[in-house]
Amino acid sequence: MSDAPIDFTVIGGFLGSGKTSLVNRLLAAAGNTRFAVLVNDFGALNIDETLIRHQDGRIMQLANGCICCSLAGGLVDTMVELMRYRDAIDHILIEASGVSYPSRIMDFARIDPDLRPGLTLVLVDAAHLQDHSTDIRLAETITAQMESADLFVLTKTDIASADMAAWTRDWVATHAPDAPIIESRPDDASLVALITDPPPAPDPTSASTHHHHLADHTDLIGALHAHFASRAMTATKPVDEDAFTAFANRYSKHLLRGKGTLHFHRRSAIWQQAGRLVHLEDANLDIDTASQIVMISVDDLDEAAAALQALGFQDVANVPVR
Amino acid sequence: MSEITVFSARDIITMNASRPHATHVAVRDGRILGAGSLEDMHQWGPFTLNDDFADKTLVPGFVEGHAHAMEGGIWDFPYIGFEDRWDPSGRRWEGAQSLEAAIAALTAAEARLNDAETPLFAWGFDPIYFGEARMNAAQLDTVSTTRPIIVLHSNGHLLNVNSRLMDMAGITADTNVYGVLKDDSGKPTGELMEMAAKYMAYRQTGNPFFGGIKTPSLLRYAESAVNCGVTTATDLFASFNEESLAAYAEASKTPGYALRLMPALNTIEQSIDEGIALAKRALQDNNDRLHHRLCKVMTDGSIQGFTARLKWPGYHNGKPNGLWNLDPDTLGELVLGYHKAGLHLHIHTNGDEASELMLDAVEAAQLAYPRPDHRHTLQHCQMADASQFRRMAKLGVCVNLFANHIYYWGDQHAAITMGPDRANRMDAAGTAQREGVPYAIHSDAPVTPMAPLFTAWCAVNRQTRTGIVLGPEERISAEDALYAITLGAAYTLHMDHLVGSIEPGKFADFAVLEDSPLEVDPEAIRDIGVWGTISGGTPHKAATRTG
Ligand SMILES: [Zn+2]
Repeated sequence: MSDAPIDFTVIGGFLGSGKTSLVNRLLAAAGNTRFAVLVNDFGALNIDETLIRHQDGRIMQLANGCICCSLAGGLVDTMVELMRYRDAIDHILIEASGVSYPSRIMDFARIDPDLRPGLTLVLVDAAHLQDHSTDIRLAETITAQMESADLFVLTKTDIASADMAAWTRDWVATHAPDAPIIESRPDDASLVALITDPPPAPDPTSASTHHHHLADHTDLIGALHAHFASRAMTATKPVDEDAFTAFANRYSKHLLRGKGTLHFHRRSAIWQQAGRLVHLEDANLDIDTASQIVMISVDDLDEAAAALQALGFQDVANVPVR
Repeated sequence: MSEITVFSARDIITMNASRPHATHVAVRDGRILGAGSLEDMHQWGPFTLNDDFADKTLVPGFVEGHAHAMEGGIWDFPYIGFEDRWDPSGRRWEGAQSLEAAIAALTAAEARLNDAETPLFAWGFDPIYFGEARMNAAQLDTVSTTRPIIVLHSNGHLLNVNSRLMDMAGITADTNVYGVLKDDSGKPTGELMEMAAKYMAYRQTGNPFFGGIKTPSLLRYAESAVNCGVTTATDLFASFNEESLAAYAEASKTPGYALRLMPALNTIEQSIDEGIALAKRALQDNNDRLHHRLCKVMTDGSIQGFTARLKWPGYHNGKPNGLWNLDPDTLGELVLGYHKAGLHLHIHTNGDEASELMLDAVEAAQLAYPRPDHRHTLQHCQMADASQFRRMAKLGVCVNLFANHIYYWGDQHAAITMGPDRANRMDAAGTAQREGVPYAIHSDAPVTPMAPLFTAWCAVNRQTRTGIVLGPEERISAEDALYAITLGAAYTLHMDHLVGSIEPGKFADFAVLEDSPLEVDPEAIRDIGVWGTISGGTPHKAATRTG
C-alpha cells in the first residue's frame, strides 16, 4: 500500500472546447505517470484497441499503465470503484461534463487525504462562448463554472474571428479576474507538461542524478515554455517555515504549480502547490540536503524569485528559463 | 383445447368502451376470451366457474409506468421514513414521526446485526416535519460506535453518518469542504451533502445501492406489485449489463412470476450507438412477462432538491436554477439517436425548462425522422404549463405525471420551491386531459410507495399532507384516474394492445379490489382494499399485512 497521495486534476469546459483532445494527448504522453482518466464518453477517446490490456465493466486498463474510466455510473460511485485500484494510480484526471461545476469535483481531493488537489483547468471555446453564455439555458451554469479555474485555456482561436476571440478573453477576464488566461490548442504539449508532474528540482550536490533528471525532462520543460515560465531555485541553509508558507499563499495567484523539497528549521517537508491550494507534508530528508523547488507560472517569476531570495534561495543556473 | 376459467365478480370495470361493465370474464391460455354476463360465457363452451371473487370488483391490472425494481431489494435495509410502509412480505415498518423514533428504529435494526463492524444503512429518512431538529452524529453514536452508519434521506440529497464513519473517513472540524455541515462550534454534525462528502462516506462502506439489479430483487418487486394490484410495471432506470439482463430474463421466466416487467435502458451509461445496440439486443429476451424496448433519458434533477431546471421566474425562494444532467446539445443528440433507431424514450423532466428542452428535441427528431406513434413520454413533467401540454399533444408526446408528489411534497412546493401559483399547476392531470395529451400517473417507487389507488386518489383529490387542496382545477374524475392507472399508463408504454383493459385477446391481468373505485367517495379511493391480482389468469393473493 503506497502512502503517497494521488494527484487530482480537473479539466472543465463546455462541449466542443477540446477536453477530449487534451485527454488523448495526455494518455499518449503519459510516460511513467500512471494516469486514471475519468471521461464522459469512452467512445470519444482515441484508444488503440491493441493497447487495451484489460476491460472490466466501465474500467479499462491500458498497456502503458493508464486507466480509463467511464463516468456514466456517476462520479461518486465511479470514484469509489476507482479508488480500489489506488496503488496502480499516480494521477487522476477528471474530464468534467460541460454542465458540471469543477470546484465541486475538486472537493473530492480536498476531502480525501489519499488525493492531492491539483489544477483545475477550464477550456473555453473562443468561437462559441458568446453563443453559449447568452443561451438562457446555459448562461448561469457557464458563469458559475468560471469561479473555480486556476487557468483558462482559450481554444479554437484559429477559427474564431479576432473580434470574437477578444470578446471571449474579455468575458472570461471579467468573470474570473484572478485566473490567468492563455490561448492554446487544447492538445498543446505545454498543457501536457503543466499537468504532468513537473520535473524535480535538480540537486546541485549530486551531478549524476541532476543530469539524469534533466535529460528526462528537457523535452517537457521545452514544451512547457511555449506558454509558461518556470524557475528552479535552491537554498542550502534551512528555510524559515512561516515565511515560506506566507510566500506560497501570497504568490498563489501567480503560481500555477509549485513543487519541491524544503528544509525548514524544525522539519523537512514536500511542497506541492496547484493554483491556490498550498500543500506541505512531512518528509524525512537528510539533515543536510538543500531545499530545492520549481515554480511554474504564466507570468515571469521575477517578483516571486526576489521574495524567495530574501528567504535564502538562489536560482539554479542550468535549468532553462524562458 | 386448453381449459376455460370464468371468473365472476360483483362488478368488472373493463375500461373497454364498447362494454364498460360485466359480471363475468372468461380466460383461456392466460388471455381474455371475453367479458359479459354468465349467459354470455356459455358461448365459449364448457368452463370452470371461479366464484372466489364474486363479492369483489375486478378492474384491469394496474400499470405502474414509473417505478424502480429497487423497491424489491431496498427492504434488505431498514426503512425509517415518516409514514408507515409495508414491505413486499406485508410487514409493516412503522413511520418514524420524530427524531427519537428514527433513532429507536435504528437501534432495533442494529440489534439484528451479528458482528460489531458491518455497516448499517437505513433509508427513507424524512425530517421535513421535525421543525428545526436535525439528526446528528451524537444521536447515531447511541446506536453504534463500532460500526459505520449511513442514513439516506428520502429526498436523495442528504446523508447522516455517525462518528465511527467520520473517523474512518477522516472528517473532522478541520475538514473544510462544501457539503460537510457543521454546528456552531465548528464540529461536523454528521450531515453530508454533495458528491464529495457522499463519496467519502461510501468509500468507507461501499454503496450497497449501486450496480445492477439481481433476480431476488425482481422477485420481491413482483410481490410488492401483487400487494397493490399492479400487473405491469417498469424498472425505469436500468443498467443493461450482462448480470442485469440475465436477471430480468431469469425472473420473468420464474414459474408463477406475477408481473410483466418493462426495464428501461439508462441511455447515459454508454455511447449512443452502444446503447441502441444494447437495447435492440435485449429485445431477443422478450417474452410474455418481459418487454424490453424502453429507454430512459435523465434531463434535470428534482424540484425539492432545487436541481430541476426551471423557466423564469425560477425558484420561489430565490435559489439558483438547477442542473442539467448532460449538456443540452448532448441530450438532444440522445433523443435523435434513439428516436431514429425506433426505440421508445421515457424522458425524466422535472422543471419546465427541462420539459421545453425535450419537447424541442422531440420536435427536431420528428422533423428529421418522422415517426408516427412514437409515444415518447415525459416522465414526472411536474411543472409543465398549458402551452407545453399543447405542444405534447401536437408532437404525439405522452406524459406520466408524479401525482404522489402533490401529497408528499405539495406543501413544500407551495411554500418554498414553486410558490402558491405555480404549485397549483404541478402534475397537471386536468390540463393533460383538457389538451388531449395521453397521460399516466405514477409513484416512482421506492421514492413513494407503489400503490396506484393511492396515486389515483392524489390525482382526484390533490390533497397535500397538511390537507390543503393544491390546484383544484387540475383534479380529475375517478373514471379518468382509473383510466390513467390502467389503459392510460399502458398506452404510454406501448402496451395498450396487450394490457390495460379487459377485452378479448389481452392478457388476463386483473386487480382484485374490495370496492369499486367508481362507487366509493372519491376521498376514500386510497382506502380500497386490494385482495391481490390475477396475472395471466392465475390469482395471486396480496401478502397479509403484519406488524
Ligand atoms: Zn424514477
